[in-house]
Amino acid sequence: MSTRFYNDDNPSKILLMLANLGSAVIFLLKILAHLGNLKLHQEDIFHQIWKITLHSLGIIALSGFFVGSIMAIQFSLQLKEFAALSLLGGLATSGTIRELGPLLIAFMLSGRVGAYTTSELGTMKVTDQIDAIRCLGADPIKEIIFPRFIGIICASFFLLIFGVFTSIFGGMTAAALLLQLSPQEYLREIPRFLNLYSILLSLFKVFVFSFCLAWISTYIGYHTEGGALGVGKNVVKTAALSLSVIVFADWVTSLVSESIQLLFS
Amino acid sequence: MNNQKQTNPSPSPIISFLQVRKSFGNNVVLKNVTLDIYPGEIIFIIGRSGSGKSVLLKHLVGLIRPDSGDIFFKAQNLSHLKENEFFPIRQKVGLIFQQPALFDSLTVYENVAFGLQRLQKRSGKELEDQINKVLATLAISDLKNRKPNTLSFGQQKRVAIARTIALNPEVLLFDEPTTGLDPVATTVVNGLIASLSRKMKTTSVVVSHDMHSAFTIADRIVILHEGEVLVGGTPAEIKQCSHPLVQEFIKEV
Repeated sequence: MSTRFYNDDNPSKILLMLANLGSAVIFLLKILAHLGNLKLHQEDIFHQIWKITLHSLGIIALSGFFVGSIMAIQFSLQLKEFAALSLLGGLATSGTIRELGPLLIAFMLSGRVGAYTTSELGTMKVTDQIDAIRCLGADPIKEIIFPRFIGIICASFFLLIFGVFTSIFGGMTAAALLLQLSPQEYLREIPRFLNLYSILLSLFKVFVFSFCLAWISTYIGYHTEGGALGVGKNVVKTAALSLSVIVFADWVTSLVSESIQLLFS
Repeated sequence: MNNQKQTNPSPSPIISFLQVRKSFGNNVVLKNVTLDIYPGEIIFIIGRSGSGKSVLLKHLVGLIRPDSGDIFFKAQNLSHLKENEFFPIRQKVGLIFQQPALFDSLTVYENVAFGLQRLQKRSGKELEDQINKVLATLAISDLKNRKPNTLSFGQQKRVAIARTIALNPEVLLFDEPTTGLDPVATTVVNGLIASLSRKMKTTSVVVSHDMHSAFTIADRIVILHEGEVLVGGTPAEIKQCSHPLVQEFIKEV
């Protein structure tokens, strides 16, 4: 069952890294093999989506509100000089949707959902619950990993939409309080700056980031060893690795999206 | 004195370990372990922490695979079976972990139902009857709607036993069943192992370092030391063994 190579005799660090990467890819393939049985797991998946969304709603609302405000304040400094404050809503919202929204959701989820998933699975592993599932005739990947994996990805989309709305509200509030810009003026220019490509790009980024987060947190959690100490170490590992991978994935998706835009412009 | 059953030498073994070796990295946990276990007996595998007792047990349900050697269950070689080929074996060989390993999000009833639904595809009235029967056997019917985190450690252990015996296995594997229990709960669990073996006619393999429990209920005791079978025999034979390590264990009683 185990596909890890941590215990091989003194392998070099590069070999170990490659072996772990291979093991993670095999783990991912085992998860994806259950995609055909989505209907069978719909109850568990809905439960996961509900749990993740509910747990993260507060922090996403708060972060979205302040990011929207910060974007509005930052853009206003430049726009004031050109007497183009009416463009504020469009620019701040477009920037949030294209870049900051997906990144913010991914960061918040990695701290909250990623760490929670790893600690939950890690605890199940070190208390023999995962082995007990196997002994009782079930496949732990099908029973506990697959619903969490899909749940994280689906919940991320809901949270992105929610986060974008709260960031618009935050920007609007900051504009009204600090710049005396009415909500109507703030919202008026949004359709001009926000096109279908920006929205699709944002959704694609959320998919990539949440996919990476779901993969990392379930893989590390499922392979936890060493009791409570091991769980703690792996939670930290998930947080650090997922943040690094998300930033790297953002760089790659930004490069790809810019190339696509150039190609069609 | 040997590791063959003394009380009834005629039947063929239900479980056989043949020169089983297992290592984790540089740490060799089992070195050529050869051991036969006979139908219906209660066998205690005694040893210090790290002697490979639990590793030996986990080989029987495919949670760990040997590096070399063969493991037979009723003449079927388990050493090279794939994960899905172990499902029928796990219906017949039930493992009760050292920790209760109950599913936190499920009630006691749902925990017991888990294996019955998946391994034996039971449902409806048949499922309900089997669960109620098992819960009654272990005197935990009143706990069926409670979640594991509201139960004492002893109650959790009983639920874990209920979850495994619900499948009517032919062999019960107990990994340190009395660790963490007070003397009264230890007596209850020992009584439970003995009565389950007699009533259900199961073979019980108990991994422990509790010599007192072994002398109380075992038909046969095997001492595992540094990954090898050091000595085996009936409790009376073990009591007379002069090996210093065996004497050390006996002194603890």
